[in-house]
Amino acid sequence: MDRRTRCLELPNPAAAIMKRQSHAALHVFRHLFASVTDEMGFALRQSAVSPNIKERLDYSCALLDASGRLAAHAAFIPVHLGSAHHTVPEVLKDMDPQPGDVIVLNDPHRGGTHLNDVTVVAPLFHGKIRLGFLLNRAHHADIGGAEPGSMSGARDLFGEGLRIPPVHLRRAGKDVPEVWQIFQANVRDPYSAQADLLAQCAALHRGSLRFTDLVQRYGAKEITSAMADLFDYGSRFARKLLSDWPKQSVEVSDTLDGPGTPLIKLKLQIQKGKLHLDFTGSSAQIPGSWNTHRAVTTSAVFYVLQALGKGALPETSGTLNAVSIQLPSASLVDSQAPSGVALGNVETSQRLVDLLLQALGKLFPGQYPAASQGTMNNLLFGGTRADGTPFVHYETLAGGAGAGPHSHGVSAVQSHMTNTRNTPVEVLESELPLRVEQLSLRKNSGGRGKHRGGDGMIKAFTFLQPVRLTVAASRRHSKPPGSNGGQDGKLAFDSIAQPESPFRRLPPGESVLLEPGGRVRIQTPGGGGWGKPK
Amino acid sequence: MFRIGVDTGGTFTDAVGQLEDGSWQIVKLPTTAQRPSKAILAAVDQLAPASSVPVEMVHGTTHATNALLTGKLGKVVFVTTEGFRDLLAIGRQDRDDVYALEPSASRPRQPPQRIVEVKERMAADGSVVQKLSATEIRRVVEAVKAKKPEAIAVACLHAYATPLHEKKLGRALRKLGVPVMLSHEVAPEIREYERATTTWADASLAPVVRRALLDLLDGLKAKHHASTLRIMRSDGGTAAVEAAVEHPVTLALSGPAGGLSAALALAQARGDAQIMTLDMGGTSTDVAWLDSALPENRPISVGRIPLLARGLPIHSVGTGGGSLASVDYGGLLQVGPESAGAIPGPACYGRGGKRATVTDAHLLCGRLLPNAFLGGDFPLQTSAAMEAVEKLGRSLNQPAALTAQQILQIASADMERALRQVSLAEGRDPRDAMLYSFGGAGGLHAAWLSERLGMRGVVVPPLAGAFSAFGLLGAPPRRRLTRSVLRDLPNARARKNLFTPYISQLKQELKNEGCAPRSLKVKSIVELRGQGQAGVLSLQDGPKLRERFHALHQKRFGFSRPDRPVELHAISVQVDGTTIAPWEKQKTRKQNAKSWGSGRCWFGTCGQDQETQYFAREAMRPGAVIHGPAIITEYSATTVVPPRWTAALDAWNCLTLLPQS
Repeated sequence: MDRRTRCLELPNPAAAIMKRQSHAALHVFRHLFASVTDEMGFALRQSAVSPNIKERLDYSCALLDASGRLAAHAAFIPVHLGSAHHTVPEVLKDMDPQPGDVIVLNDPHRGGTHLNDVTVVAPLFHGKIRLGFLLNRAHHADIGGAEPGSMSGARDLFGEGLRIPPVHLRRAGKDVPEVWQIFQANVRDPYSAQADLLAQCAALHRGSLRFTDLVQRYGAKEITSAMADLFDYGSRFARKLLSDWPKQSVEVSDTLDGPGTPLIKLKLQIQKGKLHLDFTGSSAQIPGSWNTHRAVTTSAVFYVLQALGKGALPETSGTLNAVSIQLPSASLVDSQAPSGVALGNVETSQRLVDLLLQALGKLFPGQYPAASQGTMNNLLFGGTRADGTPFVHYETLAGGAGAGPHSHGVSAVQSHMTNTRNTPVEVLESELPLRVEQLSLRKNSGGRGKHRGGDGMIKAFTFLQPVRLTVAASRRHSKPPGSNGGQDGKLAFDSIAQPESPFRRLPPGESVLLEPGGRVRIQTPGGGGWGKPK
Repeated sequence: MFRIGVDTGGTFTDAVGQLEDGSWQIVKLPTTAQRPSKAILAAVDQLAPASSVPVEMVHGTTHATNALLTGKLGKVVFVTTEGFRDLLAIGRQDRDDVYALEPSASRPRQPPQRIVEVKERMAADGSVVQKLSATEIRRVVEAVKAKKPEAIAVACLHAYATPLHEKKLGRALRKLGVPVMLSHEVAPEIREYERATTTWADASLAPVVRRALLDLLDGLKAKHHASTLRIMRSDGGTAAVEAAVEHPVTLALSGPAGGLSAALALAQARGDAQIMTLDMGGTSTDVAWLDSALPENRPISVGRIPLLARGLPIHSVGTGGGSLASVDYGGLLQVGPESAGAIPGPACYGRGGKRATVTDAHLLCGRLLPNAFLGGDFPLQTSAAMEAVEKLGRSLNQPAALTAQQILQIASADMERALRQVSLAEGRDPRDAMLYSFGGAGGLHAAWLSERLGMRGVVVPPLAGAFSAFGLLGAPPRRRLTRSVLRDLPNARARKNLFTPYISQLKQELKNEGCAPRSLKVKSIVELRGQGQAGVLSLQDGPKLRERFHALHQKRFGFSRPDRPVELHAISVQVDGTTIAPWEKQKTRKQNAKSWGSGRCWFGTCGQDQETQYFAREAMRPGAVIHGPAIITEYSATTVVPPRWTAALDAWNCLTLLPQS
């Protein structure tokens, strides 16, 4: 194999159909495993403190088998889940988690996604045998670094904030105080961060109690083989899904808004029920935060597979057996430390989905929708309240969805790799020194077409205390493309105004200090249209 | 007075009335969706005696639910703060299905040309940011009037904190002579989108629901002079029809609430502190967890539109008797989400259904008896069920009997997950609870589910097949109100001051409906949370509130932080009147029930396939005992008693199923 590329093919499944478990047993276990993650999700949401978790639901929970393969999950943020199966193998590289241990990490190259997504992992034991792991990831509004929100202003990973390789947060049920101290010393709102991390641990605890119940009831052997069967089932399902596709190959490319308009190239091939994705030719990793890495690139592929399966595809990493991914090393799509990745997660991952759908649209003309807004419009700001307490806020803004062969695009909706909610205006204003002046649809921003692209959104804030603010986002230079003759969606446009001054354009990624009375207005992109307009 | 309970469902309208000899009669008629009162009045004709006798009807209706789901709503103008005209269209910005390539996002469909913005603004602390001027009020009234609304919804930012501006707008708009719903009256709670959807739904329903229910009352009075009509609300209590139509959004879950309310009343009578309910229908199954002392009321949603008009915590899954079985790409047998519906229905109905359903599987496993369905009026066709299941079995390369068994196991697994979600997932222990099962098919799965969750046992209430209608007669007159408070937990006296005005308001409303002042029972409920947390816990106000909060927090969320401040998130007041329950305690006499036949039945995880005795519930008297394996049939419901389980009819005419220890 070429030294520059690495093949991500996962081991082959045992192809036996329903051998070890009957149809009914597989369902029973599938639901039981999901119940464990349901319970974790409930515990995490109810106990968390920061709006980003309790209101926007920017978290995910998963159950993994002993080798770290995804067996069940709840509350899905696609970018969290499609990458979850990369985590445990990294933990196991130089650790041997024991009962009562909790491992914390956020290092993108050691099982994380980007630094804000703080991940905790707990092993599940039956006697001395490790049966699996529980994991949850929650996006912390701030993880230190150059700017409030930790997603802008950095040249590399070091500038993006606190980097945590897999380390013990709890050992044999006891906190490792030094780790908590380092964590709290490096973030801008230590109280919220600690409370959220505690909530994450409480969720693991609840999940492991439930899992222990299951083991007592069904026995370790049954549980282990059910997890293996679920994995095989996922793999079988995905292969069957692709098996009817003709042998074909197509090449596409697109650029990012980042510095130097970096390029992503994709060659998609279908062969014998398998999808081969080759990203050779994509730009080398770049300074700044636009790079993705292996786990995040894989999660974009996982998402597209799920979308092809129309939600019927079992959500286990077994489905990735139907795919091989070829990534050039040290590139935009498989970056190596210490390149920055904060926006790779939220922006480049969206562009990867656009690219994959563009390729499928070329293979099957007229069957795939136009591009959606293609960004998460990350708004980050932080400062100090009148009473001296610090605050940091992060939110992602909806935009237009791409129109498709069957329908107009939906307006003001999250697309593809995220589905987080907004924080209610009344909650925002109760907790932070600001006022939301406007929240409305951005008329006629969706691309025209036989089916119209969805409209973007306008959201405007006035701040009552000084804040440092950044909008980290794309589709500020290249429009969300229409499809099948449909027109492109409108570009996004962000602007700021100091008190008593007119609005001026705010370039993406630029950090500004706004005085009290300062304003920001974000206009999010429209979705692409589909089909020639009448 | 002749008391009748009527439950209008999607397929059937059930009516239950008490005959002169004290026995209860069920009438089941097809629902007349175009004009629901038609089937209801026909059912009354079949039950009620001479027309001189006034009827006292309690009614559970799906009218509001269906109107919201189908969009057949009144013409509403939506009035909101300047800058937020698209509040309803943007919602919480999430999509319904994460993996849909052409996603949908369920949000209220309010035409943009019927939205009016108002120059006004309040802050979160209740202070005025921009004053609402008299000129502006006049302008808004003119703008609204020009759009010729049938009803008006007003939702201003932070109106939960201070209703000043909404009140002014309300006074002026009410002169237009159409219903005006103000968000601080409908749902005085924080979160603008959810408060706005609730207010919008209330206004949109007002014209249609008012018409339908007053139409029913007129029809009733035309034949039975001086009749009265009470309507079940989502919160499990009833209101006089005149009050119910004032805020029809409170009827959004009127249909399913009837059964839950009755289950609660029975649980209190029987002394079951915690129950879970299982109401299995044709296309879906409703489950709920209820503490009988303080049942939770939560925000609900209809068609994915959130509503703060709180209701009993019903959780639905798309598995019912008509759910279709199929094989997916991965070669795995699946049950649902597709359903055979009412037409053609399961293959065994013989109405042209060719695909296997859960009901067909029950029939083949000997759990449903072909000649005892609906009292024998509706014979089931075993051969048609066999054909459908055999066909499915062939595609899986396995026999029909095994396939039928797997269909039942898969359907049960879906229901088990739903029961786990409302209990374990929320930090509650199912081992403390009894499973109350009703609806025609609940009894087919109940013992099995009770065993899988380690529950205490099963209660199948009287008239299980029409329990929602029957139970309506036992539901109390009720008023309930929740409002956001959002501050550090105040002391007992300050809390009392918060509650007092609402208590007197709600008491007065019930007095106006004819409830005796002395009979009124008041519950003052606080909704507490740890500082800044999302998780809100409901407790009755009283001494040692902090201690009780931390203890409950530990139990439900797995940890507590007594060192951190406790916040009063909201207060709820519930005032109940009394009603004459349709059941009374009877003397029991221990006796063995007599079977009317026997056959073979499959019991799943509860035991081997074996010879099983059949019993008729109507022939059982309180105290009657049956040892499993057995099948107990009654009009429109069947209960399976597995091996090593015992069934007994208790003093409340409830069939109780307990595992033999």
